[in-house]
Amino acid sequence: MLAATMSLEAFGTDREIALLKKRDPDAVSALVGRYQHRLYRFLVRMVQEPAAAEDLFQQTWIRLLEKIGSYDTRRNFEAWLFAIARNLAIDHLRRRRDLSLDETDDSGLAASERLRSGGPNVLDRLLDFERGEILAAAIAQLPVIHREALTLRFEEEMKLEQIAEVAGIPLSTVKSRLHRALESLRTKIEGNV
Amino acid sequence: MTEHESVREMLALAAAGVLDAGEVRRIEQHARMCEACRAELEAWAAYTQGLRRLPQPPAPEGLLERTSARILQERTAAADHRHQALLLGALAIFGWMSSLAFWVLVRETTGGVLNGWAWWSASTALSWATAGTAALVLGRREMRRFL
Amino acid sequence: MSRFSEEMRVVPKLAWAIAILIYLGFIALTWFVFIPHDENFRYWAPPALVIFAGVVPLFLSVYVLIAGYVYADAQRRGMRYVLWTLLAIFVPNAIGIILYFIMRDPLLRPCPACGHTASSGYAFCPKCGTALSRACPECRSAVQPEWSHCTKCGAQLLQPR
Repeated sequence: MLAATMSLEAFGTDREIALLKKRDPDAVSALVGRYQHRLYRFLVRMVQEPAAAEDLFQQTWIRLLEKIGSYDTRRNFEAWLFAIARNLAIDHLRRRRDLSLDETDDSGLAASERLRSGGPNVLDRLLDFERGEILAAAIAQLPVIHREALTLRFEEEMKLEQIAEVAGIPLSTVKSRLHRALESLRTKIEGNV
Repeated sequence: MTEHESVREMLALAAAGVLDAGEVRRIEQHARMCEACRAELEAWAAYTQGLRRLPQPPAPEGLLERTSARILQERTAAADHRHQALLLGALAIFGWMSSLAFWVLVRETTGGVLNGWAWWSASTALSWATAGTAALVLGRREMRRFL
Repeated sequence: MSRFSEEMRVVPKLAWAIAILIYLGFIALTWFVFIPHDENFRYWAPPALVIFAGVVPLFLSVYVLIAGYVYADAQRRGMRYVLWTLLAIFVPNAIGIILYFIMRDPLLRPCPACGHTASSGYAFCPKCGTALSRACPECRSAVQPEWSHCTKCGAQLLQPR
């Protein structure tokens, strides 16, 4: 049953790719519409500025249409799409901040400070309504490669193989990166454990 | 490294759901006996659950329309650029061919009195001089816009 | 190629007439005068002679057509059309024509309100002031749809709705 729906999906995508290669405007809009929330969310997580995320969102589709001719249909379409967006976002961050990508920024410090002073009952507070805010603030302090690993795994629900394809790194690196991202996220929220 | 320590190392990735079946079984076996690891796994699960339910950034209003407009604009610009390159290439070939044709016609109309080679080299020199002057006058910026 | 045939319609009828006359005239001239009087053609095969007589004058008449196009096109774009036509005709090896195609201005668009012709780079109609394209809210100069800042005064532009 699952296999049947998956192959059906793949067939739909195949036909869409064929239309995309002909640059059919309806197929393009349909695809942009289908991925708009996910792709925009991913770019916001990467660059953390809504205006830049929108610009990169538009650039991603333009780049995609430029490269669609050489797209290999056996490749995973989503991984390919997110890889294009990812590379544009990384370029943007390099240009914008002129910083190494491992550097963190302090914009989200306040929330985790507030949390840390909240006493020992940290895990209980994690269950609060505010939990999402606190997590988001802590994530904002992580380096971009860690933010990327977290959002691809937990929001896009990608498998390790797909994440490796998006980020262009070996599988083992994805695993260790995800591990380190989780560790430093927890450290940011709870202090050293 | 003891079994406890190595399992503990794996708990974060276990909560992230990226371990293979063998590793998961090993953790389950250990967690059944180890209170500390069970608690730790739960803590990690709280984090991964939280990560799955982060507040979502709303896609800006009109994102689709602006994207479609920009795609259309970029594609028109690219098509114009391609057309221009094609046109100039065709004109360059036409220029050379027509100069050859004129050479023949001049040679024939003058009955060979005016040497065709003299005409051809003179016209080529003149056109190169014109093109060179034009390029200098236009400046590099204007030329780069099209080349 | 619909774009090409559309552009062909710009070429004035007079240019077509001259081009056809020149073509037929030079075919006749080549066939009846040049070829019989030039010893070089004595050893040419008949098909080669036919191709020679048909093709060589073709370049001349295409040159005339292009010059006609330059004349009409420069006129509709509000450029100095006499100057450009002369350049296209007298600068050899089609260099004048190539220069024209590199340097020509964008097409003029009529203002939707008053019909006055305006360059496509204008933000407002020069005659009646109707807004023609997106303009900067600070300095009122024309801005491209995807810009987030004005290139003249640097003002932040609001996202178009």
